[in-house]
Amino acid sequence: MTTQNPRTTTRLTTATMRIFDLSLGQMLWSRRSVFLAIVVAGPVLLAAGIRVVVTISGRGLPMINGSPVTGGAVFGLLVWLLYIRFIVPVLGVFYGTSLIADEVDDKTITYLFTRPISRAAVFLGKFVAYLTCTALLILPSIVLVYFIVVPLGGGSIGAGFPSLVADLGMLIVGLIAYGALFGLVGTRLRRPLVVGLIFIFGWEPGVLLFPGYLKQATIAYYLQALVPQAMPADESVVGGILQVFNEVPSVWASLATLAVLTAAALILAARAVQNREFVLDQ
Amino acid sequence: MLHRTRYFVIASLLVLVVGLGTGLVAYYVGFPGGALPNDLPVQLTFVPSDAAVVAYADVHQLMASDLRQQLRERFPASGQREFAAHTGIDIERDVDSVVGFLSGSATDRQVPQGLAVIRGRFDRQRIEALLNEHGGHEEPYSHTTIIVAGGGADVPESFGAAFLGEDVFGIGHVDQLRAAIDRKAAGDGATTNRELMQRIRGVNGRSAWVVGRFDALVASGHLPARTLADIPAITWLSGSLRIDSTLHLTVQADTRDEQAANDLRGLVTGVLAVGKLQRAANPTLGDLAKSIVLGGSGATVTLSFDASPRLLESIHPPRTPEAPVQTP
Repeated sequence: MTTQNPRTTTRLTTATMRIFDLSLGQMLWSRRSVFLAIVVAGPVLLAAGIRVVVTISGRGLPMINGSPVTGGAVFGLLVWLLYIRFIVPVLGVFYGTSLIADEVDDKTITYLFTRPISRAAVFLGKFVAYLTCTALLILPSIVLVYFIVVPLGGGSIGAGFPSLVADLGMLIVGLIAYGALFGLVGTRLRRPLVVGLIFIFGWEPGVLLFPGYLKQATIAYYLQALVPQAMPADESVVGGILQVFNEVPSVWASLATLAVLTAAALILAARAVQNREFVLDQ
Repeated sequence: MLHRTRYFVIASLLVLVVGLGTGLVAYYVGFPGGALPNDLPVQLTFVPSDAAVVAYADVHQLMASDLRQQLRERFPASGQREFAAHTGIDIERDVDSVVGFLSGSATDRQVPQGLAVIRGRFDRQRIEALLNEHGGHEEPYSHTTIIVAGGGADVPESFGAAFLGEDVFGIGHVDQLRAAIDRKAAGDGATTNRELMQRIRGVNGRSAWVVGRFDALVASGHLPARTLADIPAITWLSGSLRIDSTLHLTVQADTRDEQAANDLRGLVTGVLAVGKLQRAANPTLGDLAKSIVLGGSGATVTLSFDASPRLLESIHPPRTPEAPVQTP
């Protein structure tokens, strides 16, 4: 039986930051990041396309119920449909499930676990690296989309600024929550990617459509309460779909729930990494 | 950390900081005149930030609308011909849009000074020659030539016109023309007034709109004191219309507080109820009252209605040629 010497065991925060420093570069320049770059460039290109079409046509944005659609409303729609409902969950699944799995697959986990640092710090450092990597790509993307789209239809950059800040905060909360949940899935389950994809593309959209309490077992339910933009109240198909999500908890209830969920997921994932025996394929 | 990782982090943070910084500045200061968003009329850079009333008309859209074609025969365009005779500008052919404003300083029943800033395609030499023919004289002002009216029977001496840009023509009070030229150069036009721009953005995109400060209307003394006493405290009034085969009109009143808005809603509901009661005696009034929808929330009250050609016809019946008198 061996005991860890406190002098040689680096403190958790310092160790976490060392793993973060090591992992950030690996994550940024991995093949997965090419996919991430394409995903975050999509909304920017779409916004630029909308801007070009509206400018060239000279007819402005379309009307809904006699009122012209504003750039702010288009931005809200892009944030909701592309970022919250697609990009954030997908990145959470792809990166969260691979935090430890990639090291196992590459057979490099041994090098990390033989260092005089806590195993939990390995997981937490990689989680912080995931968060930084995705935030550094997504947040500038959303800022660019904001400046491209919001001025359309007479929208004001200044007037919509508080909602932009709230959107950025909400996306960070989403990245943290999804990352923590799928980090836990990645350390506990055998096929974490499949489970994650079923969760974000099957479970979440499915239960959100039905009345009842099942939707409380999703992250999207709590995230939608943080969306500052009012959903379009029109009778169009898009408006009808968005109205489905109108039943939302309060902002503070959502934040509290997501904080508890994230903390629980991170603790359980860190304990799993600490205690689990990882067997490398020969 | 690798160099390229460090550069990526710096570049990403730079985009984020510049974006958020710009947004923050725009939030607190607003955009200067030079950075007018593309969707807003460019003429707003000539409008004073304290304008009492600002109005806009997408002339091209209004003239091309189905409703306009239907009403054309009913409302002869004599004013158009008169304007063309004096200025050489054919509104229907040459003009794209017009922004007009009344200065905010008119009080005590003074006639407010105003200016119309027209955007379109102009034959500059022909227009200047025509204005000079009508007794105007040229007055250079800050690299711009203002043609001041000669003071004929139908044109006041304070009237002037000038090309404020390649495709922008200003016509109105000479003092306002001079001020507009200065304003454009200084970049302190209407775009610096956040309250005004907020209302303009709310109606921008419609075929025509008007935004006005209610206190300026009150200060001008054009409303009877008795009427004012009955109207709850309104701060801003705006109206907009969209035109296709039907006229879609929306009027919005911003009040001092929610209580004032509720009082105004009550007042309007009462007026509409009286209008509906009149349906038997006056079907037109009844139809009009029935088509009006009262809405709004908080300190805002909105009224919207759609006027079909049939309704407009009933309000303003077409002139029928008088039947020849039968002589025995």
